[in-house]
Amino acid sequence: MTTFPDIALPDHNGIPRQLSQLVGGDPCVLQFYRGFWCPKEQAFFRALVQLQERAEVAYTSFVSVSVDEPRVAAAFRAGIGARWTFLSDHERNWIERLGLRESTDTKNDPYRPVVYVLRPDLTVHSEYNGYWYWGRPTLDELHRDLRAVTMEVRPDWTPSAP
Amino acid sequence: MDPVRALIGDLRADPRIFDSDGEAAWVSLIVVPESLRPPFDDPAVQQARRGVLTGPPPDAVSTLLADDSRFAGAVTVRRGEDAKVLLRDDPFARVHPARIMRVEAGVFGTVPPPTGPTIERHGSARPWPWDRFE
Repeated sequence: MTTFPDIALPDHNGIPRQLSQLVGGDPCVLQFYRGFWCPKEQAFFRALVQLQERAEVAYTSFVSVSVDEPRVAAAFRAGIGARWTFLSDHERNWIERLGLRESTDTKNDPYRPVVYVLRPDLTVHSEYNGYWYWGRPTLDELHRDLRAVTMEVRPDWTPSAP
Repeated sequence: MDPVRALIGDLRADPRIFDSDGEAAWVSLIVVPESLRPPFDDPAVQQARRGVLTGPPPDAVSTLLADDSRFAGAVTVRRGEDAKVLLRDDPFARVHPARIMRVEAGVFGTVPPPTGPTIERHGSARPWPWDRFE
């Protein structure tokens, strides 16, 4: 099993955060996106915000990462109505180490769109390459992945008989 | 008397918010009288938790619990020039009126803001935003 690096970056408020701290004890959807300006990201975020309504009661964390400055990420987050943490790699400290630089965009030098579903210990359950939009997970696929991870990590998935 | 005990009595809070080395702070304290406590799952209390995730992050925040099903209050800790102004917009104060007070050093620490979007408790005994079942 691949373990995702425990990246440390400022969040949308500029507060230093560590991925493992953000994940806590829950499954996590970790999303890398190009930036607020990309229409494909805007479309995908609208879908994630729909999923948020279910995730907020399902013990699941979301984390979104880009090279946008914290204030830009904060404005984008507020504009789309997201209530999860956005991380800012505006100094590009992790983009190379993670191998996620989108080399075809030399103007914005952004992250390549990738979505991971992580277990609480940061091991990777699934990975979606979203360079082309249809490579991104549907909400149904994320639901299935989160169900699978939750089944793995919650010992009381099937409650015992009284 | 233990200052924490004096502030919140027998109510349970996320233990991470307490720090004997913490600096003085402004605090919004909501303690709902026993007879008025709404269910923790009341839509107004849910919306207050969403409000915490949406707004400017406090230095520390915890809901308060006395039993396994009702919202007994909340503590929100802020420091800095705009602390008092921000505390006047405490989302939990829409559920029950808050007292805004100055608390001396040695009581409350600084805790990273909740990740979101989870607004549920990790088990009925654990005050939100504590983020794990154990």
